[in-house]
Amino acid sequence: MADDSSQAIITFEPDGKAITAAQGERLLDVATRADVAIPSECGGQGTCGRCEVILHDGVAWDVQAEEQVAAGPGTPLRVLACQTTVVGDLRVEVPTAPRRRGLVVLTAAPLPDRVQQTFLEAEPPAALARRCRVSLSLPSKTDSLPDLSRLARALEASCAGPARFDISLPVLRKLPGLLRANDFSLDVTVADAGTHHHIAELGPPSQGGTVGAAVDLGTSTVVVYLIDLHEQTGIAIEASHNAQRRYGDDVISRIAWAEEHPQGTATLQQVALDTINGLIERAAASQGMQTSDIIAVTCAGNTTMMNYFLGIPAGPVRKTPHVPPAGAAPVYSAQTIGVEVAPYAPVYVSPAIAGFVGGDISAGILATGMAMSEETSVLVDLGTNGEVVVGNRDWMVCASCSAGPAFEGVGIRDATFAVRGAVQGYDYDAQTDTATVATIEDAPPVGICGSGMIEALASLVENEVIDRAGQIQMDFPSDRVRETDEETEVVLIRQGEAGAERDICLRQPDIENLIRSKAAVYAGLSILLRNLGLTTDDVQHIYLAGGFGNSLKVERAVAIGMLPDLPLERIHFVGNSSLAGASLALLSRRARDELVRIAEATTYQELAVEAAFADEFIASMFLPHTDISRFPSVVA
Amino acid sequence: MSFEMPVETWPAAVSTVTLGATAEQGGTRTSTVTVGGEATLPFLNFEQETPNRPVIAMEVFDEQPSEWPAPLEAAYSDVWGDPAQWAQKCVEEYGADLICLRLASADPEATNASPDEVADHVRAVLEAVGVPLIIWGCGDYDKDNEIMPVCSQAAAGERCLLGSAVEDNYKTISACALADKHVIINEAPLDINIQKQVTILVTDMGVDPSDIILYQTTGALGYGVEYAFSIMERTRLAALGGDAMLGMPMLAVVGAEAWRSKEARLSDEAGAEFGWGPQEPRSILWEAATATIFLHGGCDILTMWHPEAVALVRRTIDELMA
Repeated sequence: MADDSSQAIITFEPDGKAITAAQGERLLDVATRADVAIPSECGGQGTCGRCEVILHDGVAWDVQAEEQVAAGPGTPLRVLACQTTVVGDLRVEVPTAPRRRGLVVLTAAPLPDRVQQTFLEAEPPAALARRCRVSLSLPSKTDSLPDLSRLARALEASCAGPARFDISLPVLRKLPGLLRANDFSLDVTVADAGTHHHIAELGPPSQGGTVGAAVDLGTSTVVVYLIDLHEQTGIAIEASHNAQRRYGDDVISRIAWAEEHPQGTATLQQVALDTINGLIERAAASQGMQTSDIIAVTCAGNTTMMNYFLGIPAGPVRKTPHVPPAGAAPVYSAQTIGVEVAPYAPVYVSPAIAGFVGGDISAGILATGMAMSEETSVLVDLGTNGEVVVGNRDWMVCASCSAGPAFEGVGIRDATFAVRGAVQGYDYDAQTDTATVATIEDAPPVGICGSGMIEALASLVENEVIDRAGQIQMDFPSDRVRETDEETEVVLIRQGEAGAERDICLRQPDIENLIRSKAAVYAGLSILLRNLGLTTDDVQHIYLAGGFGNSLKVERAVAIGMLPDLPLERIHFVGNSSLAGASLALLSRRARDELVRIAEATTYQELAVEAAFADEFIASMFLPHTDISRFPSVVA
Repeated sequence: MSFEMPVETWPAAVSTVTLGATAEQGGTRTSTVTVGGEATLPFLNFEQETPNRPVIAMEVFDEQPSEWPAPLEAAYSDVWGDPAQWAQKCVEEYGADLICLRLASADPEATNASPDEVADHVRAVLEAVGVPLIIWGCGDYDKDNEIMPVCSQAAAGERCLLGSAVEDNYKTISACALADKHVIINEAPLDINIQKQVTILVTDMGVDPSDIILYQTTGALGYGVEYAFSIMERTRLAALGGDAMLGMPMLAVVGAEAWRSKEARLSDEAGAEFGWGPQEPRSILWEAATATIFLHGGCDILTMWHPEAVALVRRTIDELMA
């Protein structure tokens, strides 16, 4: 026992992290303080069951039953961390199954040539912040320009973009001294604030490089990508879960949580910042850098994430007509927002299109180059929400199709994010009853991620393990099909197969979840095309984006009817296009301008109000589709 | 200038399905029934003659129904203990085109008759009448999967119509139809997409599209009939437009639906409270009106209960076909 009888020591296994906790504190909150990740979908309401932990050696208080519960040596006890409070010292085991370590998330497929040329190779690309070495001519009787004007004159020559400069008073105060101490030669950090340039920092000439951070702030996953602004190359990437997950798995439940709790918005902002700052620190440390070497940050996320990132209450997004509090935002300094890099570093957020179509989608449109092409393309972003964009350089229309996070693994028992060991490729052969498994980094399979789910579903229906309605066929001649107490399930990978430590299954409800998700995506795309008077034949390219795997056989996405049946060379899996767009915004003023144009030019269509959407959705809840004639290559 | 009636033509037609097999065709039926074949919307005879008359199947239960209202009791109480006699009465006295035998005795919640017992009922009815048969399970999936193979076997070669294949339970009945050369009813819960999905699942099993009849769980007059009507209409429009997975004749369950309504069930006294008049004409008209609506929706087979409602609807069909 701790000295003070009202304090207890809680040890979390298998990390071994120990932390002092007050009597009455919820285990979920203790874990949060200890930085131990425990999933929670319902935001601590005691309804989702995801935060189950195992108690060893100690007593605790069950909030729902209002009674003390005890776990002795050899008699562990399973409880919900959100419904259990501290009574005394306790050893808490966090089950290993949902542990997700070593997250690997695709940065992006290589950028299309056109995108590369337009934004990175043409003219000075003008990064969001740059450090200029200026050597001013020395003042004389004939050239008695004030120091500041003298500096602006020199900068004008070397900075593309607006010729207007501003400077904060503390920085201005340093100017005369620094100039004269360094023979009128300085390193000036200039931030592109859109309408003007901002002289962010002054210093003596140095050899330091310039690095920026591109951030993909997803509902489930956060990725930080460090980029050398001068060389235009990536130097480090780190990813983790969004720690906001403990306040709910989707944006709606997080907004609800924020509205119900005092300081809710501030908490969500801080938690997002903690996640981002942690990743930045890890990425910088991996390169032996200081975080203060990072002089610019861009961030792309959905509308809700972006508003919480800036500490703006996102409540209006949740209610009709789903108005974003802020769509685009001015460039603020890192210090103002709370991003732990150089305090003066400009932070640019990718502008949102609508309440449910955010800056991550603007960034995706940018990165695929579809907004520059004469050809009509489609972007499908298979994130938690599921957004679809159709358009070309003259027009863009987007919709959100409420796909749900099934392909990100939420609600799928044996799912994992795209981490080391995630099953991202799967093929089953009924003849030999064998599974061919591809995992990320070829590690032993730990669970299945989105791309693996797509491939597994296609393979199961092809081999008639499930029928086209997704029903598991109990008469299928293999013990992979089985009935447990609760459900029927298909064992995709048996324990021992490909080195798996346990059976990896798809349960009947998992399959139904996935079919609903893919149906929503396809229905959204179909209705959007129909409303535009287009058919799939008019679509020259389909870009499938998402951080749910590193590779995907796109024909499998067609086989399950997630994407329309187009020639395969027109379908491209582009990985995390949000991060790719954020990276471009970091490097190129033209890309930032283009993002603004994209967000303004893209029209949002509300699909939920359309009766035809519901009808198409039902028709799509079949493998591949009720209207087989749309999938000639699949049913041939 | 003379008026010319605009005539619409469609790219496809509904399939033609014959139920029942005579001795020449390998069965024992004395008559067969052919439905479907429509190439335009119902009864637009100026566009195309209705190729096959809609037919009425009268329902027979293989055990005495409980709590049947007085008008039905009056019509059937003399025969309802014996499905063979009941079927005979429907054919000989009331002129039923088909008999729809409901295997109610198999229901685990009721008598829970064994597959062999139920199959005996099928044999008895087949012997008693010469018209084609619809054999419809009790509605409990597991039990139907036990009884239908035995009953199907008992009627092998008779080209009966077996009910019903649904999205969650279609394999056994599909296999029965394939093995014993029957036709099956594809049932969907008032949903055109699910209807189509069931057809795909069943044809994936190898059932020929021309051995399928479509059925949407219909409602009765005053109980969603307009929704059922519009689903039928959409199904037929899709069929005529060339959707092969919806291009089959349609069946409607009229008797059971109409007689579930309060308007049909309330006795003379109870109905008087609402000023509804006597039960017998009221209930008969309710059933007949429901059936007539489905005729206009494009239904090819109506399953009905009351003989007078049957007579009324037959007269309507005569007029529509004239």
